[in-house]
Amino acid sequence: MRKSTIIVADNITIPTYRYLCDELKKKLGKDIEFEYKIDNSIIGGFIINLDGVVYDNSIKTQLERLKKHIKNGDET
Amino acid sequence: MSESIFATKNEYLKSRLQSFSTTPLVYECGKVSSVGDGVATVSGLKNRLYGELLEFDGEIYGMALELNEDGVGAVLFDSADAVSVGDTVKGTNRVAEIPVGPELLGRIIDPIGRAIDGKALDAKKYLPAERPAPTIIDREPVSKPLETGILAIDSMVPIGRGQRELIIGDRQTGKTSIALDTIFNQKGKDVICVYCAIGQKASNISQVVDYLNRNDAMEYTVVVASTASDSPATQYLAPYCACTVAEGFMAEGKDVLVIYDDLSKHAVAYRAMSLLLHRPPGREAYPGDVFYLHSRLLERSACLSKKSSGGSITALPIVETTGGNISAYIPTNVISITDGQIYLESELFHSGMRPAINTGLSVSRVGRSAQHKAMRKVSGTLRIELSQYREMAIFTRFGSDVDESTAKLLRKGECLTELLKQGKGEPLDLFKQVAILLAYKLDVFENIPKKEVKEKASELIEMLQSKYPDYAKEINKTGDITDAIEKIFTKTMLEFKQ
Amino acid sequence: MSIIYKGEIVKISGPVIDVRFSGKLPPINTLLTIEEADKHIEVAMHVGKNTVRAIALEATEGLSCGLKVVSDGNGIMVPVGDEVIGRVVDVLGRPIDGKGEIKANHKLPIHREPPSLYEQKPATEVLETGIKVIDLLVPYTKGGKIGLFGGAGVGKTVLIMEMIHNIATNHGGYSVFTGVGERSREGNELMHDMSESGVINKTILAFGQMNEPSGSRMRIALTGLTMAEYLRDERHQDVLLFVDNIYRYVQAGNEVSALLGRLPSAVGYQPTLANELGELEERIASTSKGSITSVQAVYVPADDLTDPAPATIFTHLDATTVLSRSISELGIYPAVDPLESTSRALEPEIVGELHYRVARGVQECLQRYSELKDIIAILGMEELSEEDRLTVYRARKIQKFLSQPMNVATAFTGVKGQFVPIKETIESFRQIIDGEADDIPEAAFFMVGSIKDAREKAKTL
Repeated sequence: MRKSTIIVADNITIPTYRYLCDELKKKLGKDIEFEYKIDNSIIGGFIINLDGVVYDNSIKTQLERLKKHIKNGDET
Repeated sequence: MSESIFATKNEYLKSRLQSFSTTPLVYECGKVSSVGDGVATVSGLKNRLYGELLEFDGEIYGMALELNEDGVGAVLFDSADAVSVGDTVKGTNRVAEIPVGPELLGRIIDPIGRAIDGKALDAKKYLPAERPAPTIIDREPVSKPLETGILAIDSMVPIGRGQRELIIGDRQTGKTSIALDTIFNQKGKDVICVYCAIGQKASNISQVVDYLNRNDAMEYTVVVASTASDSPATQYLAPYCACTVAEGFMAEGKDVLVIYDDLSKHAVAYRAMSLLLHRPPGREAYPGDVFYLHSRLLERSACLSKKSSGGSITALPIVETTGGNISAYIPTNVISITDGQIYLESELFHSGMRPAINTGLSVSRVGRSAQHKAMRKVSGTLRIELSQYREMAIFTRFGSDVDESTAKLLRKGECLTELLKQGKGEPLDLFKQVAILLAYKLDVFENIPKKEVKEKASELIEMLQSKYPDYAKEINKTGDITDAIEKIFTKTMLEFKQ
Repeated sequence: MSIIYKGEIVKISGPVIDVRFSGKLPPINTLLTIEEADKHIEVAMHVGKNTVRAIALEATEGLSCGLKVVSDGNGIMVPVGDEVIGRVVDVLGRPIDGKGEIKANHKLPIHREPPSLYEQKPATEVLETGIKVIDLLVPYTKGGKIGLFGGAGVGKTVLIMEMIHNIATNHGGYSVFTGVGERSREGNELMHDMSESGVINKTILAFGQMNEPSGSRMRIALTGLTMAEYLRDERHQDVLLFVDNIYRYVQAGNEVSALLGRLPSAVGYQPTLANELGELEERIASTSKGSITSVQAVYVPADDLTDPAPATIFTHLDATTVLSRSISELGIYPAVDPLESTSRALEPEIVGELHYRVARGVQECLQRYSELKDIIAILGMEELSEEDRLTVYRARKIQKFLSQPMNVATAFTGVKGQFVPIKETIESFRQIIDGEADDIPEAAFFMVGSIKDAREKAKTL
């Protein structure tokens, strides 16, 4: 059983949480046990840490990437 | 921001927003399991690349140098004390890189690629710090001169574009001055300069930059700096980064000059790093591959064939000796890599001979193929004359009678020694150098006492320059002195002698 | 390639890579290929039941654990024979001259056994180099092993190039030049020169220069040697083998030794120093099938001739030419030390009575001069006896006369090179020690060819 942490920006409802876990299990494998943490600084979206790999879908990171993308004029 | 293709900023903004993709950012990360002395072990980070840049909590960077199945051994670049057990470490999937390109001219960067001169750096292109040297067939023999503006060097130990020439001597013998004067002399010569400070005091580095600024040299120079307080890993990486910066320009067909100041400190930093990585010590406690440390760096300086890009990188590495011992381990290593050495001696320096170059021990293996025709014509026998002067001076020290030819040899040797003295920041162009040596050849200063020789030489040059400004320009432009001009100069100089 | 072994990388530490295999382990010296990166490594030892420790032959930046490794069970195999002549190869025998693939009929492994004791043939025929100091005092022999010793910057490479120019150009057979850990610039210039002079059509060039990682520098000497052995054994040739620089072979082994877990020996060298050298040097031999005359440049670290590496190499050589920094400082090139250099061939049985007498006479004269130098320095020439003063004048002339303009150094000296036949060399020096050249001023002897040239130069002084 692999363990993973989901980091969200604010409290989410239980149905939303269940939906999130099911979709993730479909993509990453059935044998995962999730737990969640709250971190306001990510603004929105979520970050998952599994097997040393981080899937960062947070608004904060997206905004940072957008900023770099506009400035640099090249593809990130 | 490239506005060239877009009519308005709005259009640009629209196109950027449209091309943005919102896929999640995926990266691998692990945790620090032990840290100390600038080395951290990270567990859980698998499949890293050898030499990969790792990002620690707090935007601290390190480099993976030991890979195994459970994790990674990394050397830390800065603020190693701020890293603790349990900190997260992100993989970046990039080996250590440095920005390259014309944006770097006039700027000061550190080996991590960050600008440290107070202004933001907008770099478009990055290249790895470790890159393969040009292959044997991509090269061509060194043939164009790199003018240092220093008479003793340009005449007897000439440097060509693509050569590696070592500047070696005890501390405070003028090594950095020669390097800096060479940078100044590149003004208007279409040569880009890269000055790499390795483990230098921050005050020294800022003095160098100040000197470069005051002489308008920063506009064609890039400074890559690592200070004495930087971690060994940072100092280790510095020269490789400087070389990559140079390669960026060489690939565009440009001629580049790189100064590594200095490789002794570089070897010491690498020794510290290796010992902390528990790699066993060899001679003088240096790791066994300390030769390869410098050979792979300096082999990247070369002269490329027209088919490749036609560019070149000339390297002036600096090595500091103690007690004048050039037979020590690191000095002999680097001498066996470079294409020659300029040897500076303390005794010469203190007795007023500046630049304090020992012409007997100094050598340029690329030699005369890297000299302007004009210089070749007037400098042919200088080295032999000086070495015979030195030998005779010792042999006749104890009062043996000297015959006429020996007396002449001694007098001319003294005269030449005076002519070779040159002040810091006073470069001589080709015309001036050729004129001085031509005058020497004609023995114009035969009856001038030693102390007045330099003054007389300046007088002669000034007179020649004001009388024949066009000839002076031509010599500087073509690199050659025609027989006609030589005859005119000869006549003028012999008249001056009276 | 028919794959026998399959494994994956489990550890990377600089140039040393650990690979784990399921099943049998590939033997030591097997060549392994990292498929995805198209890089090659060589098995150095077995550590544990299913893991080997290998040395990288190419840079390891960018490699990671988990990469798949395969092998067909062979060691490094290089092409040999006629198709390789005129070509430039790397440690794996791959062409690096941009002239396309080498389609050789035969390939040989670089790890081989030396000829047996009864196959060896001793060398007794003198090889003329045209360089005065060598032909007179350190005569070389066909099939012999010659070493050029010197610290950094005293002229080893220039001397090797001159010998290639003098010997190889006139030599009827083939030459193999192996660049071990030296400058790529020199490799490039050698290629250019050989192409221009046409010598390349009789030469094989193998380069593993100082920009390459230690594995390549360790094995390139064997690559060149294997190609020379083939020409000796199968073509029954008298092959010339040039190695610049054999010290780098030892140095590369040193770099890797500590990482392989061996305890360092004297001066930090690998404990296997003598074995590694022996395995290489014993193969450079002449047999009844053919001969290999080898000229090996030997770098002397920190100018220390007692350093274990040059000291061990000494024992394998028939003639040792020692270059000295103090002589080079006097402007005398080639900077050969006439008293430190030796040759087994300097015997009357091999070089003849006259040559032997003149050579010994020259050495005695120089020896006496070095003994008298202190007296001169303190008391001056006037304190010497008439006889000793004569010895000193002749010794100084001999010193200068041992210098010689070399073809490859024309770019530095501005003087054209000279090839001086042995007969003229012996006659010239005989005149000096027999007092027949006392009338010629000292300066006339500097940078000239034969005694005739010295007399000519004297007229212009």
